[in-house]
Amino acid sequence: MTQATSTAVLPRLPFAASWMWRLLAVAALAAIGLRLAVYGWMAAPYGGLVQAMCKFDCGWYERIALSGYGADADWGEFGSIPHWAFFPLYPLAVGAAHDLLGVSARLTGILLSSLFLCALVVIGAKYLDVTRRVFLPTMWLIVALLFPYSFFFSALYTEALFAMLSAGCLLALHQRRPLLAAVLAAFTSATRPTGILLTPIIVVDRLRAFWRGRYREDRVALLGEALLPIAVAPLGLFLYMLDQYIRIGDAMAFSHVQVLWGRSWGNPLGRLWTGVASWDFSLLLAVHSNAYAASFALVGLAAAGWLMLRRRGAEAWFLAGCILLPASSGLDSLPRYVAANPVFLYVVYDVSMLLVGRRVQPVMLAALAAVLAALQATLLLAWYDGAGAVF
Amino acid sequence: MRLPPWIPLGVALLLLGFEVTMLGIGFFGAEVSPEYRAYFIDRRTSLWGSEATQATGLTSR
Repeated sequence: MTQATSTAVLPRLPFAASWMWRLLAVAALAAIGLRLAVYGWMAAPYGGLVQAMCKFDCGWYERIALSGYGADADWGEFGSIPHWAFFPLYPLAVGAAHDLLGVSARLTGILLSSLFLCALVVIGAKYLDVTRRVFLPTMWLIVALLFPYSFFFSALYTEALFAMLSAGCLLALHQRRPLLAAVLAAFTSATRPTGILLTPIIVVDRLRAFWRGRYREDRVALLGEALLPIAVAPLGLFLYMLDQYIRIGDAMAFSHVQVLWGRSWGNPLGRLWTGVASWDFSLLLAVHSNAYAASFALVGLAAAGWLMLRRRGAEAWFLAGCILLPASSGLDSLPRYVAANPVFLYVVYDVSMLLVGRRVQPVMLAALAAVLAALQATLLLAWYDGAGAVF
Repeated sequence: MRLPPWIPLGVALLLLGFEVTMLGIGFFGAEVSPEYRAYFIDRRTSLWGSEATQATGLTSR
């Protein structure tokens, strides 16, 4: 029996009630556990889950987590220098959890990332509940856990932590908690360089607050309230720069060492155009396809444009920036950067809600879940196989 | 208890001072060997020689 549910009359979720939060967190945790079991079953021919999930950058994060930035990177004569391309918060967290749990760093990374994913599900639910006209928890769970690239949220990669922190920052700003948003932005900028893109959002928010309060008498307090979050937001990146300066004398090493991966600055739109023009889709799922990476980035930019039309400026800025900044130095990893961005997942949620219409049929949700799960399984097997296009 | 209003402002100014300083150091103040500068910053050389690495001790600074 398929009972149609009219989303038009769905009440707002009573998120103020703590039991609702707990229920969603438990449901997400159970679904993530089930997902990991399926990942493990699929990984059996590839040496098991822990072995199969650790591909490409995973090795870098594992080495930094276990031995720090000073360890030999095992790359020609470069010593430990290549490590500086990888931001510190995630490997530090994995290293600390590894010491605490006593299991391998790879397994620790999978467990930790899965916990971050659970937090992302809850934070994203809260954000969608207060920013979208209609919020359907089942749809959000399907999008967050079954979207094809979502398996990166359970890998020894920064995606889950980055998505959780940036989603938390946007939510805190929406709740008018600027200092909390700034602290989360600082952690985000210590996770990935694109975390710095949250700082302009906080700057605009605080300047608006300053303008609104311009007639207040306590100008010193007003200025402090405006400037403190602005100063805190980029702190993660600047502390990392200080560490690099103290240890190797180059505060911008994280950017400079990118030359080892063939990255150099250029016009991002020009690179995307060149990528699409190369039209090497035939390489898909075999080796890296420039056309596929560039097309994925263009889809992400279109999503950002759509958000802009809907007057969601902060979301649009963050999504577009997280695409254009890495695209300005190369096309590698762009599908991952787009698809694991929380704002992109919000757009996928929006579009899915538009597609299923105002009367959501359970069978439609099941069909959507099946299609996404099949696509994710295909990508996951390609990932286990070491296909560069997925990365 | 509410903090005196000048404390958040003072902390913010200190942090902003630190960040501006780091930006300056980042763009203009690298203290690295000529080989590192040529390869990673100026990007004038295409090969990192083993002798240069051993001589500068970059990895253990």
